[in-house]
Amino acid sequence: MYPTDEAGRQQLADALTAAGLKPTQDKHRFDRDKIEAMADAMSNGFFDWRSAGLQPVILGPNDEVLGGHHRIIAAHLAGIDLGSLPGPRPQVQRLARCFRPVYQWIDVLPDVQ
Amino acid sequence: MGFESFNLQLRGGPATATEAAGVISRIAGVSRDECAIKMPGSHYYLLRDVRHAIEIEMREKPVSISLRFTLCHPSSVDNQLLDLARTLMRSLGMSAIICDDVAPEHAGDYSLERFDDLAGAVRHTIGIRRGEWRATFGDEELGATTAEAHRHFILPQCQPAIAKVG
Repeated sequence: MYPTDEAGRQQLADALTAAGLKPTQDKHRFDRDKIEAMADAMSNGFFDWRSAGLQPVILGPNDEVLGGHHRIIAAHLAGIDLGSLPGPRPQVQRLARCFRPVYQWIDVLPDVQ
Repeated sequence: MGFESFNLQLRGGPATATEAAGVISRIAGVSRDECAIKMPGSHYYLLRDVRHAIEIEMREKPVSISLRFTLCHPSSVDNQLLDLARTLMRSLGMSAIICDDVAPEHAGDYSLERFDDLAGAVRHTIGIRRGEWRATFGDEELGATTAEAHRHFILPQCQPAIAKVG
């Protein structure tokens, strides 16, 4: 599900950038296997949304992604909008401050295999 | 997660998932982590004492172990993390990599033979991240899991986001 070539990786980076989301963690912190496992679980309906709601995606004031980078990428790959999921707890919360450096998606997305 | 925690990953070596799970389970103070965001193919444990909570994820294929603690911890957790990492690296023949915003000289794999270098890089990186956390969320120390840190520190400062995400 994660892109298998450089063109696909660029396309994914472009899509996430076009969505206005800005990553704030560097490439060392991204794990392609984790993204693929999450996307698979989301697509097949066995993602643990209850626990995820206790540790929601955190955005900064200008859509900087402070927490939940893997979930955001996985949701994009699975075609799921985290901001509109039903449930007792929001899956996305916003913090008034961004205290992390902002990167470009193409610079931080995991390499293709 | 990311901004609220420090993460060290152990990987490589000859151990099977069953062997790795056995070694982790035998460590004193380790129990199953029932609050982790569970993924198929991963097993979740918690090493907890009165001051610390280190979250452990063991992935089956390929076998790897993620060690994570939240940045609201007292600094005594640094040694506990390193002791745990050394025990697992020795028992399972694994190397370690810092999954964080590392300086270029601190990137890459560390074998057990380079453990002192790893410890220096870990302490350096944690120091930067801990300073960042405290500047944002204050100096209160708590041996919290990720979910607990969200409940205690992060979510009280948040509002639900109205945005298309994903």
